[in-house]
Amino acid sequence: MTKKVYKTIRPYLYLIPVVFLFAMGVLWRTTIETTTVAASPSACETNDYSGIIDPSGRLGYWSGSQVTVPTEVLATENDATAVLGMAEPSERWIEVDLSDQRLRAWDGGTLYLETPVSSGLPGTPTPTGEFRIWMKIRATKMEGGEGRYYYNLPNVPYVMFFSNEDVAAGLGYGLHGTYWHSDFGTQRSHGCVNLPTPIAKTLYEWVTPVLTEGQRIVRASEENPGTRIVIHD
Amino acid sequence: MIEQPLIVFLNTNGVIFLVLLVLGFLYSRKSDREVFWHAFFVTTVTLIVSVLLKELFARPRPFEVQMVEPDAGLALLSSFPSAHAGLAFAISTTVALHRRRLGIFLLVLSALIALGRVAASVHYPSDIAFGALIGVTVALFFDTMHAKRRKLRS
Repeated sequence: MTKKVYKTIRPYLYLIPVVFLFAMGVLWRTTIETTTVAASPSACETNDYSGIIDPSGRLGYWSGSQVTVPTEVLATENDATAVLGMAEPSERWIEVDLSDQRLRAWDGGTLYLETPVSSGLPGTPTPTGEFRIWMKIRATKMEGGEGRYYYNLPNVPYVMFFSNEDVAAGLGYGLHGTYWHSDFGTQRSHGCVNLPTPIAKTLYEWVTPVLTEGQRIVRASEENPGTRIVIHD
Repeated sequence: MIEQPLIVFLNTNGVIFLVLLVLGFLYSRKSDREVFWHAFFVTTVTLIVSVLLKELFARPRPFEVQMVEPDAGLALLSSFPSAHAGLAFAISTTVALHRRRLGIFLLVLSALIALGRVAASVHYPSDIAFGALIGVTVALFFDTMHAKRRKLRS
């Protein structure tokens, strides 16, 4: 009797590893889907604070495909200079309108610059509120996410990290140049505000903390405070 | 980095040639018609299973993580498990169950294909291991389905 049962079920025993793998796959996928949505407050994760452009970083990976870092991004040396505006630097502020996907830079009451941007996707939204730039960095590598959301982007140019009391500096939200897509005006990022690279350069030179000649990285301080950023829906 | 275009070509398309040649060879011989159908179902099922699993696991390829140029194509889907290894081992195991000597030769070829994919940095060794596991188990599953009728020859 048992022999007969064994004989009938024997072929199906071979399916156990395959079924097991499917179960693991479903579990794994559920984990990445839920963790990337729920536990991803860190936006543009970076741990390279040298600000130096890495000439070997020519390949990036973003949203499931490989991207090449354009030669312009690699070729530009440390060209940042401070820009004198009409108003005092302390009167400058940046407005990011998430519903319009536009950024406006204000010099006191006059509009200095307006551009379409790409903010965070629904799963990884850009935080709203009032922030200050706490660090400017000429270029850095950003890596994070998991599975199909994994990204690895070397030499992200002109990064301006912002923070406030609720959104800690370590979470890595910022404004920066973008070479891996040009869909500005639609949500694309993991929480950061993506800008067209030339605009990012202009802003990088315009906002405070002020960079001294040849500096690749500067942190805001009491004497050298960061520009105010207002992000709203 | 692999320089020779022939090896890159083999790492990319070698498995397609292997499967088509073996299927063609089996089909051309009347006495091996049953082996042909066995191999046909096994390769189809392995391909479907591994593509579904790839979609589920969504693992990035090693060359994407290590920021290097891959030395082989056919690397658009996710890394885990390896469909190349799966297909190669599925058809080799099938043949080995019916014709021992040819089967062992094909198993060695499959191992080479799998190692080539690792060397070309399009797969991790674990992708290969699980791909091969899927291929072998699917082949064994279909084997038990027609175990009574098959004859082992060497």
